[in-house]
Amino acid sequence: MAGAALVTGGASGIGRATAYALAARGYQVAVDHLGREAEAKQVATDIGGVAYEADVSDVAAVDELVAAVEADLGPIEIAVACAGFDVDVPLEQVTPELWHNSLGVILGGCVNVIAAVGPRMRARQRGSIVGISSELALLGDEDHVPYVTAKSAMIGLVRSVAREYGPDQVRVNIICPGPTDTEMLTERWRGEDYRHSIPLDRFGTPEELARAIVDVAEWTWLTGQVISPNGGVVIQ
Amino acid sequence: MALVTGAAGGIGRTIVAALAKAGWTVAATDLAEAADVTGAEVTIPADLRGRDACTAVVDAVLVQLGRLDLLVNNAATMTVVEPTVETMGLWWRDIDVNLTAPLWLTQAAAAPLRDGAGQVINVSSISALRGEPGFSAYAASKAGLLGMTRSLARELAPAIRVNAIAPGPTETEQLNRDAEFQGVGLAELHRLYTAGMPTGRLVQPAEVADLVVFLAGAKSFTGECVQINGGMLMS
Repeated sequence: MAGAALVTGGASGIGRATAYALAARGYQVAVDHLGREAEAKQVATDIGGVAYEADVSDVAAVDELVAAVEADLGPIEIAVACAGFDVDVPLEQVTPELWHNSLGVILGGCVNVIAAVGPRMRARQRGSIVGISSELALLGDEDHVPYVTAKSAMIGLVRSVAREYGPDQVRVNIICPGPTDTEMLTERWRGEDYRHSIPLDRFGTPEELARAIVDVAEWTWLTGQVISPNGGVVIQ
Repeated sequence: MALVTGAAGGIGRTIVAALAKAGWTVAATDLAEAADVTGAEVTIPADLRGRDACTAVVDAVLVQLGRLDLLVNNAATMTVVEPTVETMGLWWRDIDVNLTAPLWLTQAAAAPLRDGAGQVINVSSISALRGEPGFSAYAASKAGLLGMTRSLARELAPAIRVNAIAPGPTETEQLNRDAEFQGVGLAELHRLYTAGMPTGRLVQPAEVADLVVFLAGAKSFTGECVQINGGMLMS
């Protein structure tokens, strides 16, 4: 038995695929969602896990979530911060609400998981945290500043926490997915020209990303890294 | 016409002076307690928290200088804080000052910058690139600035260039606070930092300022992050 794992944003997309991939490797998975109870419960039923609802932008809620998961399933060995949302908007239309929500859910969702799970993992001298960023953090993207800024900030956070947590044998890494075929990949990205510009000439599948995420979570000598499975969209 | 934020600090003050020497007319802004800044044509005391405050600063610059061609987002806080449930309120402080203020300032400045040969220079940090234990909020804010730089470089092109600089350990009064955090004397801190720098010396504020002046005239630079760190981290 590989132990317990937590995936935020586990009801859909890459998070959902990650929950399945973790379960296939023997983890008992806590599937966190917000407002997607039916989907989360379906995932949990499929994989012998448990669905939980928590708003990742609220650190107290995430702390309660982690306490509940560890009471139910035991110590969390792997935590994947995948919850996020995406809105395309030009700079002049960015509102304080959108800005703070983007930071709160995307960056906040990552730092709150670290804050809740990290100290517990450090006390046990083991554990692995993966934050899901975006290849757009590496490239930049127009009409996308709140999302890209938050995804980019996650990288500075994780690089720092990797140094803080290293002596306690807790690993923290970032995955920057390229364009992956989920509901979050909007029409804007689905044109033929863009697809053909990808060296591997296709989008990623959620399963491909999930495999990378679980691999990165399990690689024992990897910390503070940014790994980007992206079909060649970013080569540098 | 240039606007420099955080203009009363070690690096900000030197940027203002260098820009003025290079022929720029500079508006300097910092918190109300800051004294006048040498080389600034106009000094605007302001707390940059909140969109309204940032818009007001840009408006004041336009009223007093008539146009804006360069925005230097330099104002920053660097808070000692680890990400824990108990300290998360404090953790967000660096994000508010170092990341949110540059966003609102750039949003307010975009239209006047577009009218001129506009550009934005964001002061990031080596911390964004290599991580900074004990300063994850600072590193996150400075890394977020890079995503913002790249995105706005694409979005605001070709009228507006957006670049970043990433200084390493620079000889300013911030080092006194660093020394305190590390629990060492200043001389020992110098030794610790320069041990990791092939040049064997701290970066000088004037060198950072010269880089800002250079980027201000470098037409083929956009979306770039230029490091200046004595070799502590290599591109």
